[in-house]
Formats: sequence, C-alpha cells, structure tokens
Amino acid sequence: MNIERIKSGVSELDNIAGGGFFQGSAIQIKGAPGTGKSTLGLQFIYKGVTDYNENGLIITFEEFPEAFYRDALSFGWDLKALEGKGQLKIVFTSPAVLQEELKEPTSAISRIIRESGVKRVMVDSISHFRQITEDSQRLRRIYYSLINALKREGVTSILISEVGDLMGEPKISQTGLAFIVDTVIFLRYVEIESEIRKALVILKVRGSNHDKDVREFEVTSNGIEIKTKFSGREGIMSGAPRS
Amino acid sequence: MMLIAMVNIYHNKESDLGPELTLSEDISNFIRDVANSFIKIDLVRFFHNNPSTIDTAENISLYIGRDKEKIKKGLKDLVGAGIVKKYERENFELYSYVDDRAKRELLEKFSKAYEDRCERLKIIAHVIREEKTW
Repeated sequence: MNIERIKSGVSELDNIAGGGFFQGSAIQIKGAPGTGKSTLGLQFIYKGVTDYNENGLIITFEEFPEAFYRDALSFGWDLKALEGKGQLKIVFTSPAVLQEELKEPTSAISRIIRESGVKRVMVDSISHFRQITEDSQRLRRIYYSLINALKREGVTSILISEVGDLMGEPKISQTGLAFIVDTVIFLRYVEIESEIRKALVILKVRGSNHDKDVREFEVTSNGIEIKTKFSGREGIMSGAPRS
Repeated sequence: MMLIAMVNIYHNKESDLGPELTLSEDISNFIRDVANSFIKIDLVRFFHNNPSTIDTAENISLYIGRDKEKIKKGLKDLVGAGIVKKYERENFELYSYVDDRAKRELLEKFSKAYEDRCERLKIIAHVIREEKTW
C-alpha cells in the first residue's frame, strides 16, 4: 500500500486534503457544468509535469484536444509544448474503446502510459461511460474495472464527473462511483446576495483526515485558487444558503 | 481569376488546371495519392489536429460530422496510403495516426496550406479534378 502523497498543483487543496493525494489513488471531481472541474484537472496535470516532473495523460471523450489547448493557454499553460517534449499526451477516444484498451497490455493506450512514463491521468469525463449502459450495477463494475486498471499502471487519476443540477442538494448516484474512488471533491454553485459564487468541499479521502470546511474558490488567470471557508451561512451545498 | 478557373474545372472537369491553380509538387502529389476526396481531407485534417486519437470509424464520423460509411471508406484508403493505422480488437476495429515523422510533417504542411484561403481554393480545385464521385 502506497502512503506517499503527491501535490495537486493547487496549493491550498493539498492542505485541506490532508497533505496531498495518495500516489496511485483515484480522485473524483464532481460538479455542474462550468464549475471548474476540467480546469482543476488540467491544473493537476500541467503542474504535475512542470513542478513535479510527473508526465501526464489526458483522456477526453467529447472535448476535442484543441479545446484543451485553448483553455489551458488562457491560464498560460502551453500543453502543446509539453506534448512536443513527450511529457504529455492528449488521447481523444471513446469510453468503450478505453475500457477495452486498458484490458490489453499491448494496446496503444497501455503503451502510451508505459513508454511515456505517465504518472498522472485525467479522464474527462467518466460520466460518458453511460453511453455503454444505463444499468447502475453494470456501470459500477465498469467503473471498478477502469479504476483498477489505472491503479495497476501506478498512476494517480482524476476522474471528472458531471452533475446535471446547477443547484439543489447534492446526491450520491446509484452507480456508486463515490464508494469506489479514494477521494471525492465536490464543486458547487452558490447564490449569495444575487451573486453566483463557487464552493468546494472534500467529501472523502480514504485513509486520511481532511478539512471538512466548505471553501469558496475562484477560477483566476492563474487557475483554481481556493479561499477561506464560507462563514456565517448554512446550507451552502444546497446552492441557496441562509444566514 | 481563380474562382473562374475553378468553375471551369467543376463544369468541364478540365485536366489542365492552369497557372493560377498551381500547387507545390509535394502538396499536389499528396492530393493525387492521398487526400483525393473531401472526406479524406476532413480525415487528414482531423488526425493532424487530434494526433492521439484512437477510435472506431463510427466515433470518428461523429467527431467529424460526416456519414459513417463514407468515413469508413476514407479510413480504409488512408490505411492503404500509410497515413492511418488500423488495429483489430475483439469487438472493434480502431484507427489511429501513424508515428511516421515524415508523413506527419507532410500532413502538417498540407493542413497549413489548407488554412490559407488562396491555397485552400487551389486544393479544392485539385480535389474536384481527382474526385470520381460526389
């Protein structure tokens, strides 16, 4: 069992996660559209390469790689330059293909992970596996197999997970992904005095203590910046807190 | 002048393109041997822009927004031309871009030319001449 921690690339996130993510663990980032899930994942991958010398792999099912290049450049992160140096790959594929490729030791994706020395992976988004099946039990087995395959390769993986509701009480889905992963980070829109702000909370870090506060965060020109906890209000995670 | 020449190509299938539609030799040969249809132009540009794509013909047709059967045929031709690799899996046939540096550099040159409006019109004229069916 690996107890080594790695840095996320989002400094305050490491502090509130008990010192960083466990190496080789699976982290679910869930939230509504536009809350910053992919940005957080990109920051983890980019900083992993530039600050911690850990090569990265982004697996995308819907967003074209060009969209990642463009979005990352807005933060000053040049993904193409990292690809040129062999420190990053962005693979555009589909959920069923990824599932099959990770089972096959000689597959293209397995070889990319091995030969490029990939240590960090982002899957954007794992919700697309519902294309394969809507059956919650079968989906849970698919997620379990996928996460085990990534752990087998020794990578620390960020799994982006979409939530349909912009507001309202957070729910655990029937597929139970939150039960399978090691860490669950939840991003939420919050309306305070007619302004939409963003909240982050770590719901789970398996095997570790972690901060229980609901923190405000912003997407700035430098990426995700986590601020202090919301104070003087209850029901932040419902999206419509009260004083 | 270029547009008039193109209209003549379209209507008359002229074999002589004229000086206003001349391309560099390597681009012209690339069109003749590889990117000789609009579907194949879409495919080579897609793989150039998304070089780490690994997927089925059906999904690639969704990414490009073209007919699945035409994409399958185009991919088959590009496999034959050594631009795309095909992998057989138990449940799928998967396609990805070849690792060949020289071929990737040629596709980069072609894609850059295609992004220039004047060059793109010339390329289209050459493809109209090469394409056997619409």
